[in-house]
Amino acid sequence: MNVLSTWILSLLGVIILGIAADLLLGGKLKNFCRSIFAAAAVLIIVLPLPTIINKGCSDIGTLMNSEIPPDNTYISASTDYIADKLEKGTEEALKKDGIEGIEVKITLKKGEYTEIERVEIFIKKLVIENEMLHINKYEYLKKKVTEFLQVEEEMIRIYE
Amino acid sequence: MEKDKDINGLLENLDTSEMDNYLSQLDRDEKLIFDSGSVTERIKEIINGDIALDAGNFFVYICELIGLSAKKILPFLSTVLAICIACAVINSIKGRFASESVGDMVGFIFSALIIVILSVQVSSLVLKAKDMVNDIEKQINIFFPVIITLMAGSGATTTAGVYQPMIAIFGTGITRLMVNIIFPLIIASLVFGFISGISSSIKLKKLSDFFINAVKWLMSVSFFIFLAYMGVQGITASVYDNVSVRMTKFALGNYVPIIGGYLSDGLGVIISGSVLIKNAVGMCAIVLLLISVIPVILQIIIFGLSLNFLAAVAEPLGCEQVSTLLSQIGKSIKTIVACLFGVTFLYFIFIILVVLTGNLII
Repeated sequence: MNVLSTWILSLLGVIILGIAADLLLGGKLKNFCRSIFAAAAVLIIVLPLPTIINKGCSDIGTLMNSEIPPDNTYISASTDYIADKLEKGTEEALKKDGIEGIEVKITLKKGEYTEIERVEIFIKKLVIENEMLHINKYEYLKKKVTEFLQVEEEMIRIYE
Repeated sequence: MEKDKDINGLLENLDTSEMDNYLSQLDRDEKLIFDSGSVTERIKEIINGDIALDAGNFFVYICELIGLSAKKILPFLSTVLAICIACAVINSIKGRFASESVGDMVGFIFSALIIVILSVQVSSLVLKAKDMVNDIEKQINIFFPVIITLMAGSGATTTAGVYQPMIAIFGTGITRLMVNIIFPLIIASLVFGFISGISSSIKLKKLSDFFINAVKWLMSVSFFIFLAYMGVQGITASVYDNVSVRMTKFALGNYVPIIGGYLSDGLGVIISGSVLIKNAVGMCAIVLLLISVIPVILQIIIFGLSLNFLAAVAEPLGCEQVSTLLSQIGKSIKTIVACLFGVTFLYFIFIILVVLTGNLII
């Protein structure tokens, strides 16, 4: 804006001088002065052009690479909601298979609703049906959870 | 219903503090148009189906704005009209009771007087226009991060990624183009219009027209390129997200029915809840845009019309110089209105496009 105001003021100055000369002078001198001031005005108008052309525009690249980070609270809350549903579903499915009292905690990959990162099973209050007392509960649980959640066994941790 | 409870729960986790801060800065009449004390409450109302705005209040607000703007312009109108009448009187006595050079000098003084009065009015309007563009930039920086979050939350992650640089280009690039290049060009055209109005021997009218044409071309080209790029990118990305979400829903069949049921239920709430909230936020953004833009545009339009009226009145009074000056300045004012309409329309289309392409995933 400073450049623009300087430019406009210099142009205005030349024009006002030209008007003053136009009003005060007469005859051939008036025409001569008019031509001089007109040439000066054209020179001032054209003068900033080389600077503007050489400056160019290189800021678009910076703008294209800028990011607006999403609100992580909302994304985390949404992911937690889905994880909660998966946990309830897994507990219900295991209950149907005769395993009750366990707590399932599922960690999803951030922002991904179906990509499971880790499954933790807490079996402190585990209750198994009589027919299944002889089984290896850890292997059975891992096998069932792998089948239910379509995950690798390495992702499952069981805690007492 | 439980689903409504879940959606409200999602909304509680959304950071709407900046939107509420912006709303709190509006005056009483503007808040009445928005129809709610807080953005969160308005979003909840829209989600529950209360979409309609109070048309009566809106119409009254517009009429009040027009009345106020017209009232503000009356002193300026009457002053310039009085100068035109004095100019007409001087023109009629020129040659008989006063010499030609005295007549020219008096005409020069009247033109200078009108220029001084006009420049005060015009500079305040240009400042208001600049403030409006800065306000639009502020709104973009407030609303779009929330909309992008909701898009990402609803599964439209590719679309959100495509729109992120677009928002930076619009929020910073286009608004900076307006404030740093277009408005200075308009100011230059105004200044040359004023200078050429001082005396008929100063011929800078074409230079003023050149700046106006440069502004029109710059705006048209930059807006067209931006809209075209945004449209193509956004629609392509949203189709990709649509396929991804459909594949996810299809993959739910691989789970045992109980888990599949829970997951399907959860995904349904998250995706549709996020989409509903996003649409509601988009609607709030549009209403706030209109509230911030309409007063400024109306004021500038009324000023432009008054200049045309004065030019029409000055011409038969014999004040050719004044009439030409007022017409020339009127052209520049029209260009300012066109720029403001352009940037408002661009922002409006941008919101609609972002909201609609985000809906394509469901």
